[in-house]
Amino acid sequence: MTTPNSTPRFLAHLVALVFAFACIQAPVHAAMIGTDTLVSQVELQQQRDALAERLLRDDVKKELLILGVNPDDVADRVNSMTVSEIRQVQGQLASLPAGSGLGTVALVLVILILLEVAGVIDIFPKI
Amino acid sequence: MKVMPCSRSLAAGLFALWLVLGGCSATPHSDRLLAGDRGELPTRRELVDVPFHPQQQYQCGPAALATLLQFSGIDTTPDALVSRVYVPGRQGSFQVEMLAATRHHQRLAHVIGPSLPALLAAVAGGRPVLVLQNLGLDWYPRWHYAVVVGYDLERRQILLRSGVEARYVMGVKLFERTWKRADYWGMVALNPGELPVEDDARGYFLSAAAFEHNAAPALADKAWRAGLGRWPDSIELLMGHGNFLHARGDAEGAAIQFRAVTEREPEYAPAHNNLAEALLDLGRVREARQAALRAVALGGEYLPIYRQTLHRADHADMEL
Repeated sequence: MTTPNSTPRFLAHLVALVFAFACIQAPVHAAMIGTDTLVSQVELQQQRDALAERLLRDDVKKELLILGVNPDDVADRVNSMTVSEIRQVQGQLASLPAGSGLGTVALVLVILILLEVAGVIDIFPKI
Repeated sequence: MKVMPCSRSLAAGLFALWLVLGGCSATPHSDRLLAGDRGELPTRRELVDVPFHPQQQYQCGPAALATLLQFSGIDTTPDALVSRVYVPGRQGSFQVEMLAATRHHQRLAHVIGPSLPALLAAVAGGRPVLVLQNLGLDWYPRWHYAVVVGYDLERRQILLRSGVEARYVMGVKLFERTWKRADYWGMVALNPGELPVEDDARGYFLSAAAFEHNAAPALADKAWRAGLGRWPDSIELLMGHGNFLHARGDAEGAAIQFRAVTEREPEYAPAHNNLAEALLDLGRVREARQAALRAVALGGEYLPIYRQTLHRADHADMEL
């Protein structure tokens, strides 16, 4: 046994051993982290959903404000809607049906114009 | 045979007009009802006690909603509802806000099945129905809310509280055309505990789930229980009520409902998962672990959540 050489060799063996253990341990360690990661992924998704919902609600609030709804009422009105209702209306408020009542005079006028153009009646002599 | 000289252009004009105006104005529901296919529906019914509020300009939404809510015992007026459902920029009211405002007043807003028989069945059952109509045309919509309060199939009439008319009589077919253009949309306002006339557990589940969102807990509980009274085997209602109880801190009641689901639908993983959660809260760790294992074994879309539950159960088990 030659003592001068033994220390580096011992160290080399130790390093090799540590690496070997590290390699064996790595998958086990990863699997454990994996479980935690999964949990945090689920939580992250939930947080994202909550954030997305808040953004959607904010969008609808802005749209209603633009359409002249009283700022004092907007929050309460939008908070009364469910998530799926919010999704239905978001970005659609300009085109969604908005029940308002009778527009009889305008409708009659349109029909008369149509009839005129179709050549059925002749009450607008200039056309 | 005498032929009018202008008949061809007149025919062409009328055809064009038919295309523009009436191309899709079939009335399938009325046709069937009027042909006598009406099941157990009475020939006529009129709910004379439904109040009336003549609409202010463009505000048929608040007027119709006030009519419906007053009938269900809420002390309100069209003016009071303007701030909840009227949208100045559109000079009208949206359907979702009619539903949301109904729930805000602690009434269960329920969209009825999109059909004339469903509408008349609701009225025959004593419930006025708020309907959206398109009085104009598909390409020239005139959206309008009114409340159907009666019908007479012999006289082929639908009776409404509409606009400034306290008792507006419409032909069944004309009504169907205007209603069909609004996709046969109609809603009722139910007192918590009341049920829709139709046999549709899933439809009621959706209404109850939305109601729970901002209802007083006691009323939400009443709505869930009423639904389960009528549809005791509904998976959706059992899950909904179980989740409601769990959120209220009644883990024992929740566990009973989730267990009931697993007995009816053993392959339905979410019930096993939620049962595990409720059992964990009750400290029944071994049973919880069994339920969580079952959920994980069944797998599916929410598998990561089931694993999380199992993880929790394992931890609780180790701590014992």
